[in-house]
Amino acid sequence: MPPNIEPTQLKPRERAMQNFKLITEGPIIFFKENIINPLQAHIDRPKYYHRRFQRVPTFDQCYENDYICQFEANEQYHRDRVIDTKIIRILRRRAKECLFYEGPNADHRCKHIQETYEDAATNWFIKYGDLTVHSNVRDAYMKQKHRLIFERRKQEYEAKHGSNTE
Amino acid sequence: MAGMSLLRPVLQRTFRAGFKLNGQNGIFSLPKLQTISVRSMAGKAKIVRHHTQFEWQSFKDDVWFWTMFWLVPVGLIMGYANFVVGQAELSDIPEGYEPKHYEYYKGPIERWFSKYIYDSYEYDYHKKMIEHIDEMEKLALRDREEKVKSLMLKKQDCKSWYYYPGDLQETVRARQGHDEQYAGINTIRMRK
Repeated sequence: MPPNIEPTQLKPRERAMQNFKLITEGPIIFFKENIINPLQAHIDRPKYYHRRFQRVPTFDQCYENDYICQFEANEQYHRDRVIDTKIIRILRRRAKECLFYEGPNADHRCKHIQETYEDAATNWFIKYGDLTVHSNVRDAYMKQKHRLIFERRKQEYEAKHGSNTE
Repeated sequence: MAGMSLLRPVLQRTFRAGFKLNGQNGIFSLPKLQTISVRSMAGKAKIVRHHTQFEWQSFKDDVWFWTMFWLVPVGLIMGYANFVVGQAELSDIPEGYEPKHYEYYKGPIERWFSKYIYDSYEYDYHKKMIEHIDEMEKLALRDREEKVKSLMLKKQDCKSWYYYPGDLQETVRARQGHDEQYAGINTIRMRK
């Protein structure tokens, strides 16, 4: 992110770009600060909270005929999936902003954030990739199972015959 | 009586002024579309002939009416909700307090709907859970039924659940009793 610079240090073009906000949003800000806030200042403003979800047993800890446990594990899986997707978006946005800001210096200035983003995206794809929108926690669990079996068999094969890259 | 005698000539004069009959125009007659000789009425005024504006004016009235019909109530509700009541403030959940289900939303209209119209998140969650459980139980039952049917077909050792095991002699006795009872009555004509 570009650092905060005092307005006096900015050039006229940049100052004009910041003053453009006053033209577009000036009347609204004036209306809110001078008319609405005094109107609402005398009452107790209502409060809202963010929902807190408790951790429930995951799908691999549920019995096969325990449908309640499976349902709750599925809901938890979808919530975690949304959170992981948002984390990836934040990292991607930071990498893009770094590239845009640094310009020619991006090669050595943006390495850390780009590596972090690539690793995170790879892990996301390992866990959730190629699963459709209507997938559930059982599909993801089976995907993990198939991946582990594949890796085990590949190791056994490579121990016997040698790897392809040699 | 005196009024009646005065009324007749007054009526006659108004009638002649309103509806002149000898090809002249009265006050209540329709204007005839014909060329008129332009008179210099105080120099510059003109009698302008124009087409009717009734359709256009009534259309505009309808548009204004039906938009305001919805805009005014909705605008008043929105104005009250945003300018007087206002959006909610985000705050931490105090210790030992369980927020009500509508206190998880920011906008005043959203809170009102959640409070009075929609089911809470917890209730909705339980509804979905019950639907899921019902469908999974039905799945299990269907699987079991298909397995039973295929085994019965394969092994052919089960008489299925419509078979009731019975005594043959009892059937014979019942048939004989029935035949004895209806022996004399000719109920059926059989072809020879």
